[in-house]
Amino acid sequence: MMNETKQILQDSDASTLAPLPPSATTPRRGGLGSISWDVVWERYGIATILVLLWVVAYFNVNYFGNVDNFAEVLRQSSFVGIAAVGMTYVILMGAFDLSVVSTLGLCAWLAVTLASKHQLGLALTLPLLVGIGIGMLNGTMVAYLRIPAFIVTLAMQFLIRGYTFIVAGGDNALYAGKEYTSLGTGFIAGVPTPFIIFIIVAVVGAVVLRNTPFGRYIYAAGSNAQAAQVAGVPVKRTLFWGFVVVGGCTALAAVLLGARLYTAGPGLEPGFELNVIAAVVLGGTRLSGGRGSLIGTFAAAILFTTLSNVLNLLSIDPFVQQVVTGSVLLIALSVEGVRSRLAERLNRG
Amino acid sequence: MRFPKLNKLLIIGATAGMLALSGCGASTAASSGGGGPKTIGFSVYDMQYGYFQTMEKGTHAAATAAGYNYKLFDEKSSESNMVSGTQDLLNQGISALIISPFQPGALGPIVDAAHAKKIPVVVDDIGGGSSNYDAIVISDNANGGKLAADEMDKELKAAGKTGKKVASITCEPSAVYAARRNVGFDAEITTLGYTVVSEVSGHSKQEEGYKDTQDILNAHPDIVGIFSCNDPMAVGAAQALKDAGKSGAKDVIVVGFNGDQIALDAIKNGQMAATVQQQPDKMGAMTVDLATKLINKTAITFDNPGAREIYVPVNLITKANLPTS
Amino acid sequence: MNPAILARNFIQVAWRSYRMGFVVLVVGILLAIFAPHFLRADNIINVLTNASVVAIVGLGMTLAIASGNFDLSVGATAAFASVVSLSMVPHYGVFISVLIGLVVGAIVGFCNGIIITELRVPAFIATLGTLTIVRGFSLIYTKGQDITLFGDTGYKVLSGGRLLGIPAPIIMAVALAAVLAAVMKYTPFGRHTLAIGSNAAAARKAGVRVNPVLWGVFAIVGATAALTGMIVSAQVLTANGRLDTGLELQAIAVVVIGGTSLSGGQATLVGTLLGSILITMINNGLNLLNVPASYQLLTVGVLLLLAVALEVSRGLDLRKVLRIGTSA
Repeated sequence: MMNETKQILQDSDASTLAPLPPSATTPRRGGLGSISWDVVWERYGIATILVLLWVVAYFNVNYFGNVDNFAEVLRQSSFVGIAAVGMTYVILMGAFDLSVVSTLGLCAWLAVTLASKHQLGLALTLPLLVGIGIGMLNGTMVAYLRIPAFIVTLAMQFLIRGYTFIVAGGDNALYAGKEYTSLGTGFIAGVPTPFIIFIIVAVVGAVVLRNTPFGRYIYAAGSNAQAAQVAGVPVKRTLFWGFVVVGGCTALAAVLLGARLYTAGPGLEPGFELNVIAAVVLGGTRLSGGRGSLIGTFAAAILFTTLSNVLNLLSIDPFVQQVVTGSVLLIALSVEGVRSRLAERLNRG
Repeated sequence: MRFPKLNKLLIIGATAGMLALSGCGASTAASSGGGGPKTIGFSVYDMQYGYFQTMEKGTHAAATAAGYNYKLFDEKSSESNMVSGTQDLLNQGISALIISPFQPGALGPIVDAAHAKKIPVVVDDIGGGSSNYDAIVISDNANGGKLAADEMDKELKAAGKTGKKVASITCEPSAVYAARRNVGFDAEITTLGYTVVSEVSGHSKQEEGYKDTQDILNAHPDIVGIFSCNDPMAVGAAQALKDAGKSGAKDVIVVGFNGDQIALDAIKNGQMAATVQQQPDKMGAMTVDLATKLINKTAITFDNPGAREIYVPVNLITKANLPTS
Repeated sequence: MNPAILARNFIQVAWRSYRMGFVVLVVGILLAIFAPHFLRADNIINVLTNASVVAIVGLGMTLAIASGNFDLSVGATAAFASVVSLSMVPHYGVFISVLIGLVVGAIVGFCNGIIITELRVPAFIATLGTLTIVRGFSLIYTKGQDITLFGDTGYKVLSGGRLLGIPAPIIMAVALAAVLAAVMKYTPFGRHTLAIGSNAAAARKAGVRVNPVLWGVFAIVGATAALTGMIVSAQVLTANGRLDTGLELQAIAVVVIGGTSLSGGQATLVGTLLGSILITMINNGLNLLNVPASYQLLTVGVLLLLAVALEVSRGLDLRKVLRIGTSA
């Protein structure tokens, strides 16, 4: 039944999009006069849950409102969060990138290694170039060679990790100084540095999505690739640049994470790719593309970290924590499905 | 266009809310170190492994016995979990931190943050990285590998075997410190006149130790000994030998590392020859003792004062000296 | 007709239908030349046995992918079914315990199906959620300990049993492939699965009851995952919550390398068998040659890309390429 509604939405999109010039291919933003419930939920649901969780935890969980603890939650959410901003771009086009975990390992290793050799300038720039390069490679294969994103990025995950193991020689890079690590562990005006960068990335990301042709192309290509193509949207080029954005964001997250940990190696953060995708989807972006927003991604990344922080503060058994985290993910994502079912039933009866 | 506005409002609101929350949070920051019992925080490598469950039991029991409150965090084999979760512990007013680090390199930020709060840090096993920890209790991994090589040589000579080919199964490529077991083994067994003909990774998993051993047997049917970086893989190797109609205690000498229960059972049943036993429960108790000394600022005698190291001997367990349990 | 054209046509047709077979053959010949002991009978049987273990869950996954879905929870399901099954052996004997394991797997899969169809959560994210939850269940069930079988319980028959000299996993994989191939071809369930995979909305309009078909598909995936998990536990006679981590990506890789398209609507069960053999063979060859694990990662990556490049050379619908990851 979900397919029907989706199909109908797509069909209506196609009919409105097709005759229009590309500048008019604006993303769908709910009904024109009325606010539709699912759009509101999609965009602000997770942010609302996050704020509610904060309020409840603030009054009920010891140490949660402690300024150190709170700063730590925001800091920790930044690494997955920054990569998730980039991931939102490709998921909006109905693809995703499984290689981010290995890109993270390679770029963080590179950053820490360069920093430890007192090449701070290079440590902050070269990993970004590498990340962008990996994104270009992924983008070329997905957009121009038309290989499914799942396979391209899964293969790249193996390839990059294998390569990093070989160049790193199995050893973790270590950094002992202070200049580089302040980027990961420091504060600016009382707010953790990585979180400030996360906010900047999210805001820039949202502005680009909303106010540039690139952003509009992403929504158009994700809603209906064929219709967008007909309407003159450069679908392939848009998809290509989407992968470049993920690569760049992941590399930025890697540079910060390396500074946070003082160390990095090829085996960094197993499961990172799934956490990033989960944050994007929990934030309301549809895996089928065309719908979603960065505010959701932003809130979801913080929600995951808050949840695990609260479970830690409550000393919940680590095995039970897994069950709780998975259940929260499923329940949050079921809300929209259950609501639409109820709506259909009401409409019918 | 009402949505962009709503969006902006929400972002501003949320950010303001966060700052407000963290701001007034400061006033409620609980003060520790008052009259009541002190708390010890333990950050454990990964509770999915028997070895660390035993370590946790030892630590917990010793902390309770010494009258401390006890808080546990499970790093779940992830370095960023390790850093953030341990930070959570530090923010809960603990008096001392004990940590068995998944990634010793990442101890730096933890030790820095702890010392900023004047909380002493005791590292339990694995390694200290290049961090400024207060004390470390560690098994001698390289020496354990050497013990394993000596035992293998002894048993092979006793059985009158003349073959000189042995294999070495490693943990994950990323487990830098555990790899020292294989390095120690390889060096000693080579000195004893053997050749390590195969060095493969079983990623610490029993089922991969099984498969690796099948491959080793096919490539080198005349292999006489297998050393494994941990016990689950050693038991997997012994099982593969059994399925190939051989014994891991007689035909091919299998030696593991850890002293996990499954390995002790396998040695008892004559499926594998030996394991290098670490003593995680004892190590846990020692760390609590060290933490007490650090809290009370009493002197500690180190085995290696330069690196603030205290060694815990590793034992060789064979059928002859199996602990009765 | 010109014999040259005839020959070319013949080669083209043969290549299209037996591509994977050729690749397996060529890689096999290369390994036979370069890797000593590769051709030993023991080694070949090992390769085929271990390939079958992955193939069994791969066959289930083939159905999920053919229906336009994924299942990321197979590794966790395998572990859960195995710990439950092994813990039952001392009470109910081997036969019942294996049945219980299969049922547990099928139930987990069925739940996935319900979450995907009734709660309308996309398969990718639904099974990512159940992956976390079910791993948690296994760890809670075992209290994080190993469950080990002592003595001669007979459980070993799953991995070590032989019929006419052929190891049980090979027999099970081939039989399962045959049964599933027949199901896909001759039953309404099979045809409906493929119809949903090519276009779920159209299938629904044509009267296919999409939801129950998907419950069935996911229950089958769960049961095959359970079987793979139990065979692996039978090999080492131990099960724990950590068992089979990463199995999901292996399973998806063998299906795709075997030639089943990720865009759904088509299933190549024989291809999945061959894909499993190819990956296992290469890892085995690299082990025999004592190549470090990092190079094995590289090899699998290159292989995946090559396999799909072959597939893509036939041309794919852009729309479908862009929509991978969507679910029913």
